[in-house]
Amino acid sequence: MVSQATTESILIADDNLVDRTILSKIVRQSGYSVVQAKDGVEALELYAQHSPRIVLLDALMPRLDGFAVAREIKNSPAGEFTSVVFLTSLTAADELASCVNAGGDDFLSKPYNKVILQAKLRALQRVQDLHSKMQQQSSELRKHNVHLVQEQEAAKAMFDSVATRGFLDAPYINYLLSPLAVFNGDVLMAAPTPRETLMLLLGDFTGHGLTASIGAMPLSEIFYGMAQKGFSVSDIVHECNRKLNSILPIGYFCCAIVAELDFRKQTINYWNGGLPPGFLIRPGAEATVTLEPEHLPLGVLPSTRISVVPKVIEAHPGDRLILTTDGIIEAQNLEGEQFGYERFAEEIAEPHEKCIEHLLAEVQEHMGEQSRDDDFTMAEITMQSPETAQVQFDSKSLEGELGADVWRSTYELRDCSLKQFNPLPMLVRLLMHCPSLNAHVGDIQIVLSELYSNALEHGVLGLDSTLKQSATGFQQYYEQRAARLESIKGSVFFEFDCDARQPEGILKIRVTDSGDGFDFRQCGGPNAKGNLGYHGRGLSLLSDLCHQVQHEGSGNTVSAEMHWETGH
Amino acid sequence: MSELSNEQDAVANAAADLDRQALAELQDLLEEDFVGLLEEFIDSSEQGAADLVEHIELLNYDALRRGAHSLKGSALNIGAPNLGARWSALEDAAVENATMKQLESLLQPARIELEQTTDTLRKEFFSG
Repeated sequence: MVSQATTESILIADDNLVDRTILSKIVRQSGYSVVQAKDGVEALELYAQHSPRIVLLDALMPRLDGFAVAREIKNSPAGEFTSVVFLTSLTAADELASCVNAGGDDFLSKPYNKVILQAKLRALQRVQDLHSKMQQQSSELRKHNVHLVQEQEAAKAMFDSVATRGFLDAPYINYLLSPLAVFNGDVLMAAPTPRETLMLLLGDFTGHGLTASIGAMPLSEIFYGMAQKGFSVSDIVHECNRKLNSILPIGYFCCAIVAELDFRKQTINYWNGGLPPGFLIRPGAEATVTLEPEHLPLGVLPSTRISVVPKVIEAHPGDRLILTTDGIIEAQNLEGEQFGYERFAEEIAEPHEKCIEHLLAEVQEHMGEQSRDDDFTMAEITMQSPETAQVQFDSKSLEGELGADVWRSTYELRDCSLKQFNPLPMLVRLLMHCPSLNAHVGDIQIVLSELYSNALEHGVLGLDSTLKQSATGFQQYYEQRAARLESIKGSVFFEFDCDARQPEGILKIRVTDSGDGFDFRQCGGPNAKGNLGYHGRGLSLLSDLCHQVQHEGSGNTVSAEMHWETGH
Repeated sequence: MSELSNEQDAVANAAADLDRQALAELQDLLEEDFVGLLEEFIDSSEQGAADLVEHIELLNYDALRRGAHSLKGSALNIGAPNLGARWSALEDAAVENATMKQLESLLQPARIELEQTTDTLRKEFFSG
């Protein structure tokens, strides 16, 4: 296929002129051009010059015999395939064997028979055609592969920028995410919220390859976008599920755990859809808490059918939260035995400075020779005090339209909306329209969130906060909360009055609930900043952040006043 | 080796037993080159046979084997299977390192067969 565009050439090497002449004649009649050599050395020279794809070789020739020529041709590095046919009247088995050993593809015995020879040439030509087709395809395959690798590298770069982002560098977060995460679809994300809590998402998309990771892009956008705007675990789960349900093909989904670590309240709110149980390991005698998967993975159910109510557990400084995808648990050894959930639980229960490294070493030992760490994802977060957590929120990201320094607004949320809708992100954005308040978004989030949960839980739902003082009561409290939310009736009414024209800005927030209220005058006298003596109402935290906080009316209204420096 | 003397007697008049069909096909295939090919066959076979005498004298088995092998091939191709068989016997004997006497006793009838073959070919195909 080198020079002869129309006629393929065939090399005939035979020292006997008579035989060579007869053979050449037959080959020419079959439509090939012929190159003739009278010995082995000449054969190799002509082979190099003409690169024939078919070579007919006499076994016994002067200077260099046919075996040596065949070996030389078969060993030549050229990508093209050359068929070698031995011309022989050799009949002894061991001599024929030497022909095969030297790389012979066929034999042709004397006297030459035109019909047989032409049949053989056609067969060899078919082999040649197949081979060049294969060569062509494999070269195309190589090109495709190069292209694919490039695409995968680009995808990996994008994926890495979304799969592990945000707050994962915090000193109390350790994590292991495979460098090949793009191919197994594991994602780990962490973001501080305006409430100064830490929002986490560990996800494992079904399948492998690019399809597994493509859903990570919208997931990441939703997660970071919503976390920084102060949306709750429920809101984030709901939206991630809605998005993945609408974009992922049937059969594709994302097992995920979304957790909010509140270092101030010392709680973890979590929702686990299909991931292995997480662990909250408490130093000392206290029992380990598992974060069981109680929901279907993200993307499976339509919005109307998914339950997004999170679980709440207590978590104190020093407690370790450990989350993992199924890669480690399902790691198999040569006998097909899995590392297993129990062993995973045992290994992480022991306090270990480098828990993840320790575990990884154990898993690799378990797997033995077939060790590979391309499917191992886990995260270990040690609970902090609010001071050491340092969940600082970058308020710049929330800057909206500027300029509303003096304004008033009211907003009322009623009945089933109290269950379905979290008004806080929207209200925070409303408040952020006052430019100088932006720097205080964290405090405002906390104040609003406290006021709202107080109004909702103690006011509308009538829950008793003293329950939360014991561990069993804590659980009971949240179970009651979930139950009562189901049939909630009532309202929460917000009033805002903002004036930021003076050097000291004033924001008044009044929150009134439809509950029965209580006789706050009986519950201890007013303290320095207001009348909040009743710690059980959980509002003492507000005293630190507000200029004044007090109960009004029948105890179902709380008003808080915040002061700040406007810079005016 | 009584056969040998019989054959020697027969040399003068006996026509070689040739494969007529093969010859006809060759003629067909080679057309105007056919006679040239026969001449080449006759010349190279006579030369080759003369070389074999020398190889036997020197007991050069390898050269003998190659020479007989080559002669055998062209004899078969030209349509002279009996001649091919003679050369083949000599080739085998060379491979087996036969004695000089054995080799000479095989060469002799082969040369007679060659002579008959060339005679027949000349008579039949060379005009004038």
